[in-house]
Order: sequence, then structure tokens, then C-alpha cells
Amino acid sequence: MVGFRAMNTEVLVAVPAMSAAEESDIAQRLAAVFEESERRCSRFRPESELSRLNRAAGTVPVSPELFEHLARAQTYTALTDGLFDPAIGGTLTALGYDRSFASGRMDRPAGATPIPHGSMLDVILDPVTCTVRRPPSVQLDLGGLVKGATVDRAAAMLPASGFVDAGGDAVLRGAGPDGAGWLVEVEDPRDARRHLVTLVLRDAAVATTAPNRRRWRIGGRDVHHLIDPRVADAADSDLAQVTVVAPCAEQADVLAKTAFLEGARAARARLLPLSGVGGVLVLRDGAVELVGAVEVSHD
Amino acid sequence: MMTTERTTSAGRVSPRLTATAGEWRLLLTGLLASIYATAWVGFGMHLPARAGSAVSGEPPVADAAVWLDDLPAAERPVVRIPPGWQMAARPVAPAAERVPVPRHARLRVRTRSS
Repeated sequence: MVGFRAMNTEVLVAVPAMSAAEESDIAQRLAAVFEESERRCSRFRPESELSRLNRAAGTVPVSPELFEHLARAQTYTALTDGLFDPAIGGTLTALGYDRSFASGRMDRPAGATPIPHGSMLDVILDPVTCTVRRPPSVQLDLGGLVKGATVDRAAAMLPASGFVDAGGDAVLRGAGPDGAGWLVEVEDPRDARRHLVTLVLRDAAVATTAPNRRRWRIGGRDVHHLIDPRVADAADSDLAQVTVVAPCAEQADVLAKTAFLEGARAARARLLPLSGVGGVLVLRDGAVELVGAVEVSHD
Repeated sequence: MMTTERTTSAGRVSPRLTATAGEWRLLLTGLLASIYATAWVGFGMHLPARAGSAVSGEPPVADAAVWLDDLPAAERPVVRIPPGWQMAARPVAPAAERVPVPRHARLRVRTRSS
């Protein structure tokens, strides 16, 4: 297993059939993929293409790669009735999340009042000219979406058996080293040293959303990075954590975030009908629920 | 009191060159037994080496013994055993030897918010 840092998290790569040298070699190539995504889509790099778009006025041309991300983001926003909405960048900035997260260094004595923001659906995308027109009220934050997409892209470069894990967003190819499935521990959001359940995954992706890590204080109150677009503020969910298993990491990430924002009842209803999708819901009272197609290891 | 008695060659008994019939039979039997034993030893030296032999450079010979439950169900012969007899139980396999654990055998992923 080889690790490197990207997107403000540790990325782990494992390919059981490879030698340590081969594994390191492929990890180097995957690191380049992550770096390219970050260089293009990070909200925290002023020179990134996304940052330039967030500053630009009027209609601007963008790269096909960024255009693809934006087009898919718009689709997800429509599919989730606006719950998953990358147009929340302005709210995050107003709450103090205006730089790469560093625990303990985000606190502010006072913060700007969150302002109502536009929707991703207000962004005009022209696939013919590959141009974007962004309303002034929309500041885009593609964080989770791009991370999921990058994990998917990196995993596609692996042989038939292996995994890429970017801080909990993971794609696991094949059926694990012994053919019995990859074991994925779902962390306990109240105690990171423990895990609540171990999932068995084969050719699947997993992503987890919780407000337990990216938390800070601003203006005397606790906030976190999961913004509810309906109220333009940190979400107040009856869930403490959502883990989603899906065919790809991008979908898992979008579903986990959406499920967290809409709460347990709606999350069950959303996840259950989806083919190849399952989840682990952790309620704020500590209860753990398995939803849909998830296999659990009783080790 | 010790005494010595000097003898002369003239006084010795000359060796007997003839043998009785029983003695000839004994001699013939010994001779045949020696030939038989020599032949078996020579034959044994030309047998193929058994599996596990230190000098074996050839593929190991398959063990002639086959356990019934090693055979496909359809190929198992019907074995009737006399009353009071019982089928031998397969010896319990010895504990598996410890082998180096593959590098990825215990790989786990931890999913969490990040």
C-alpha cells in the first residue's frame, strides 16, 4: 500500500498483485491525476481554473474537463431537487471556510452573515462553445464532486484488483486480495478510533459524509462544511453520518451528501430504490441503520 | 601338575573329502538362497525412486491410496463391511504451517468524512 497527500487528505493506493516498486510507480501516476484535478478545480488555489471562473464576469470559455464537471454537477442538482448544489461556495466563504481546512485554525470571533445564493441550475452551460455564464450570486465549490470523480478516474488506471482511497472516498476494484471482498470499516463519528460496522465490497465505491471533522467556531457558534442550500447555512440534520456504497465514487459522494442534508427518513427513501446502492446511516442518537444493498462482515 | 603331549604328523587324521547326502542338500539350499537374495537386491535397486526420496529427480509417484471421500460421489464404490468392522477415519490433517502473510491479506479501508 502506498500513500500520498492530495486534496488536503491522505490518498492510499493498493494493488495486491503488484510488487512494492510497481505499486509506487502507479501511485506516482495517480498522484499526478489528483494534482491535475486540484490545479484545475480547487476553490482554494487562486490560480485554478475554477477560481478564475468564480472571479470572472460574463460568459467565459472553460476547459472541456471543467465543463464536464459543471455539467454533471448541474445534473446532480436537478436530480436531488437542489439539495446537492455546488453553488454554495459563497456561503462557505461567509462562514469562514475560505481556505484549505486546517483543524483549530478556522475559528473566527465573528463572521459575515450568510447571504442567499443562486443555484447551480442558474449557471448557463453551452456545450457547443464550451463556455459558462455564472450569475454573480453563485460561487462554485466542486470539492466533493471532483474528489469523487478523481478517485473514479484514478481507479480506472488500476489493474483488475486494487483500490484508491482518498480520505474515505474509495473505489475498490475486484473482490479483494483473497477473493472474498474488500473490507471497509465505517468509522464511528463520535470516536475515530472505533468503527461501527465492516462492509464487504466488490467492484464498488464508498463515500462518507459527516460534520465531525470539518467543524469550527465562528461568531460564537459551531458550524461545519455541510451546507444546506435551502437555508444557506450549516445543515442541522438528524443524522450524524452517512456512508453510501455505489457503483462509482462520484455518485457515492453526491448521494451521501444529499442523504445527510435531507435526513434519515428521506435518505432511506432515496437510497433504497437505487440499483447497486446501499448505505449506513448513523443517527444522532447513535443508532446505526443499514439501507439497501450492503453486505456486512461479522468479523 | 601340568603336562604337555607332543604329537607327530604321523599321528593326525587326514581330512575327509566326501560329504553325506544331508550335507550336500544343506549346501545346495544355501547356494540357492544366496542367488535369490542377490537377485532381489539387484531388482530393488532398479525400482523408480519413491516420492519424497532425497535422490528423486523424477516427478513424485502418485500415492496409490485413495480415500473414498476424495472420489466424486458418482464414482465411489459401494463398500460393504462385515458386522463389527468400521470404516477408517481420515487422519486429521496436521496444523497448517505458518507461511508469510501476503502483503495485502489484511488490507482494510476506513471510510470516514474528510
